[in-house]
Amino acid sequence: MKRFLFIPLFLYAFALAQMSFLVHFFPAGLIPNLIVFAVLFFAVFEKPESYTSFGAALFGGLLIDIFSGGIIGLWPALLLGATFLIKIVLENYVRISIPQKL
Amino acid sequence: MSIFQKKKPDAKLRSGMLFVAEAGIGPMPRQSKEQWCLQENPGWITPSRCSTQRETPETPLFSYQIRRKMSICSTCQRGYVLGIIGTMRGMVSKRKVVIGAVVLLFLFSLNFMAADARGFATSVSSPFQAALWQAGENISTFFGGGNLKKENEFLQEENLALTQQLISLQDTAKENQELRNVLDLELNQEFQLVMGEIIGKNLGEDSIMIRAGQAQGIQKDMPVITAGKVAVGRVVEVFHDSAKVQLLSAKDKKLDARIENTEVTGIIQGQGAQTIILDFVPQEDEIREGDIVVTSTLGDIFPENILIGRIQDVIKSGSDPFQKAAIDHFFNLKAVETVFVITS
Repeated sequence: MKRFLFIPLFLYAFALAQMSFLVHFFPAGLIPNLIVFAVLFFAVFEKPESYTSFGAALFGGLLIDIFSGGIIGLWPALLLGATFLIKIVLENYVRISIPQKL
Repeated sequence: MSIFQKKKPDAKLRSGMLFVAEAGIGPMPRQSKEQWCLQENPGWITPSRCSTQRETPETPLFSYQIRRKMSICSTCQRGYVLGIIGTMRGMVSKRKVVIGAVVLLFLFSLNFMAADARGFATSVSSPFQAALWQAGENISTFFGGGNLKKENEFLQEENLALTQQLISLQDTAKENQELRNVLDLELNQEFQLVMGEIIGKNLGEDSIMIRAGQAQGIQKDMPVITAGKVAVGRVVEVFHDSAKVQLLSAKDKKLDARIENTEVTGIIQGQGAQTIILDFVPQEDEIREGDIVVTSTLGDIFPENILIGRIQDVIKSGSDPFQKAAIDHFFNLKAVETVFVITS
């Protein structure tokens, strides 16, 4: 239950930091997109059976569209697709190292 | 294969089949526990020493459901995973896909009230944004040298403005100096003068443009001199605020002249390319290098005794009744920026 509260707040804080805080430190408008990094991070490192990264992709994408002025829904779709792709690759082509000494 | 279809079980993998999972990337090799144990321990005949201890269930999302057993070979003390193919599970459930699609449709529908949605988000976020903005500005100013950066920018702008002012004042100072020269020479008492700044040069025609015209009382054929009372030329064209002055050196232009402090007269003839000669000086008259040439009373353009130049070379020809002399013109077009038109 905690993750449903903390992850949206986390992404919202990233959105505000990106727009109002990091602007002063990155010249020429080349500010890293922290929301995208966060969503991809969740997709790569969460448990295979978890759906948290999909929710994060939808909410993070919504924040990007709201604050950037583009078409609302574009970034959620993009991030959702990227998360899905990562999940497929991790499940089908990457294995945890076994056996290991117990 | 579509992700919405159930994956058909591999023919080689059947429920209840044992296999051993190994590390690495790619499909898991199909190998029985016995095969693996014999491979790792070639001296053994039977793997009966290998036994199971506990079971670890795991349910991955996109592949077969596998019940795995973490085991230790009691003799070799090496761990291995004994996998049992269980019931095959389907891919991502339809229900979750439908939920995702509905959410996306809802998000796209927000475009119809994008302004309201953005306005709401902005109004909620603005206090936090203001605080973050201020914090970012303070930190960047601190690491960027405090107020020095702003002060530096201000000083640079001020410097540019002052440089511009300096250039303007220097021009005014030059103009003042020219006028003082005129006053020193008391030219203004001899003639009525109109000052004209040189604004253009046509070296091919030996002419210049000056910033003084009809509005200042300039008329055609008026003589033009410098502040040092050196003959420059005459006005050939007049416009409202400017005039064209033909130089003495214009090709085939003539001017009556004489040698200073003598009665020797001649004709100044323009050769083009800013050079002049003194011609038609009788052979019997003596002229020497260094003699000053001035305008004579015979001329109808220039007043008398206006400086022209200095004799450089005397050219005498036996058959010619006249001698010539090359003149070093006192008027230097490159050095002079202001001239004076004698209006009366």
